[in-house]
Amino acid sequence: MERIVRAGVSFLKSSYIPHLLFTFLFCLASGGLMSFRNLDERQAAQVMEMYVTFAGILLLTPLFLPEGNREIWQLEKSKEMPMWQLYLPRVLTALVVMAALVSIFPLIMKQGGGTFDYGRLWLGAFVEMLFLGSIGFAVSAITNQTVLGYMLAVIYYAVNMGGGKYLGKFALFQMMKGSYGFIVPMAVSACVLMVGSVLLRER
Amino acid sequence: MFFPLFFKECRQIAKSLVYYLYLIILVLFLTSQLSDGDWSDRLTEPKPGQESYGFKESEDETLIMESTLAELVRETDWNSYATYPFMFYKEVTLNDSELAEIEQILFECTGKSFEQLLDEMDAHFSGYDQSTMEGAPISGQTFLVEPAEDLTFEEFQNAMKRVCGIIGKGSAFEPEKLTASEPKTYEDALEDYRALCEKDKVTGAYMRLFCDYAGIMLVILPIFLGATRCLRDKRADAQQVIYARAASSLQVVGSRYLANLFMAFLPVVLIAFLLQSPYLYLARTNGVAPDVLAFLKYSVGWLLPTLMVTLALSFVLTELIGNVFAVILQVFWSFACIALETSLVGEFGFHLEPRWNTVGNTQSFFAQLGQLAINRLFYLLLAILLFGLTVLIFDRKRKGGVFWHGKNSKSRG
Repeated sequence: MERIVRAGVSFLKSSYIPHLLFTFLFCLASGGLMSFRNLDERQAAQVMEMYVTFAGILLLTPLFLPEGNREIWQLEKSKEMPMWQLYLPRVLTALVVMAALVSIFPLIMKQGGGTFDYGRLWLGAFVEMLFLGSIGFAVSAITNQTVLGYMLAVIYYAVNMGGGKYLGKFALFQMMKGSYGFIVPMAVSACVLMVGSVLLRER
Repeated sequence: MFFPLFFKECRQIAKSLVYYLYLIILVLFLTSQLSDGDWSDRLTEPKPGQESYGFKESEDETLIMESTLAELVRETDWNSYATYPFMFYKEVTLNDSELAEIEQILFECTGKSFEQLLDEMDAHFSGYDQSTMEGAPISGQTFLVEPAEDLTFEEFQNAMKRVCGIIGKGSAFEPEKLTASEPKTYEDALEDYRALCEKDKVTGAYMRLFCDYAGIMLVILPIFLGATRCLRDKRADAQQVIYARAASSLQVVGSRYLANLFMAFLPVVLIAFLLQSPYLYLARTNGVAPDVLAFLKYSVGWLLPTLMVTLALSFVLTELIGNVFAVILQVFWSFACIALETSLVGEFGFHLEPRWNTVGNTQSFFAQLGQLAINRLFYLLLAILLFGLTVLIFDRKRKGGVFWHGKNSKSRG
């Protein structure tokens, strides 16, 4: 257990802090870019889906960053500690930060006089954020290139702005249209992508 | 020394996965977006007595008041006001007391209660089929609210200032932003058509639409090409070997930059050429001699500066920061540049991606051509400046200087 925690702290210090700081700045900037006053269900969903879910890319895509250097990856693989134990604290840290963001934003909107179902919005936004981030996570894991992870996740987000109709249950921004049918397929896909990616890195 | 390096870079790019993704996304995006619309009706001569000839901008004060009041009624009905406080879109929703204030301002400007205005709006929109491509925009553009008889333009502007005080900065009701559009006459439409045939020679008009869509991709996709190139040495642990080579920093960075530029621009020109082909045929069947080289003129004049700046910024940021974090910084910059676009047609200003999301409006385009030329020249110079900075940073690192997350950093891409 101690080894797992140590590995997590080391990753945080050496690679992850700039990404956390940037996510924090990204959230701070929302005050100037989004209105949190008197939002109904659709408007609150817009804030969460168009803005907050993007943090999924920022938090999940860079989790394989240290292994971008093949020597480090080879060294890690040669050790007794299984790779999943190395990745577990990284993924958990990202998930905790994501959960915190998805909890804080609806609270701010509620304080601004918002009228929406907090639980439903929380669940929908968390699943979308997880799914979007898992695309970057999986691509980074498969190609061992974080740039490609960012590229495909960002392109997926951009495609949804105009071409969501072609993506069925995997289209983003569905809560804005009052649809929540995406939650189960997206959650399952995100889990498959993330678990599959870690298993792949074990090989 | 330069050309061998250049060709070697091109070969490396042609083998990279990022480049193939770049090609696939570019082709899919452009073919899907540009195959959607049938613009052939724009390329046929207008006939007298048509139902509509489109719209043009108007400076008529009465029309500006009518159009602005109509917009205010609609946004108040939805309780959703579009604002751009920091030049990004921000939807503002008001509480009951603020809404009551807006309704009071509407009453002062029109002499009618909000309920009366809503009834008039419903009556107007029920006359159009909102589900059709034509009905929705025309019904919106023709909805006007008559101001009170004794309302002067100055009083109207003051009222709009009060509206802005309630909604916040950056709305369409700011006195200096007030505009209106009016229907084009047959003569206007005929003049536009002639300009399209004589000045644009048909293909030019279509190439502007091509540039509009291609520009969006060229603000985003080259980031990944540039970052991948700059991080390749680091991934391969080849930095010291490169630094020790006889080639100057200008030659090393220049060959990399120009190779990326060439490889990224080549598919753009080829797609432009292919997509222009049907319009060559269409022009000839209409008896117009098309501009065969329009694809090249527009690609070079319009798109190349955008590509150069995006790539140069990617180079300078990645070289400076030295890891993949540069990518995410530039992605935000790119989204910001796209979000800054307040008009889909013209008003180029200093926007990185000039928009012209229509086929035609030739006279309006040529009236703004000077503005576009200044814009493109600015970005061309900016790209050269950023490239120069990249060379300086590379040279400094090469000589042993330490940059932020640079040569001596442990961070990895």
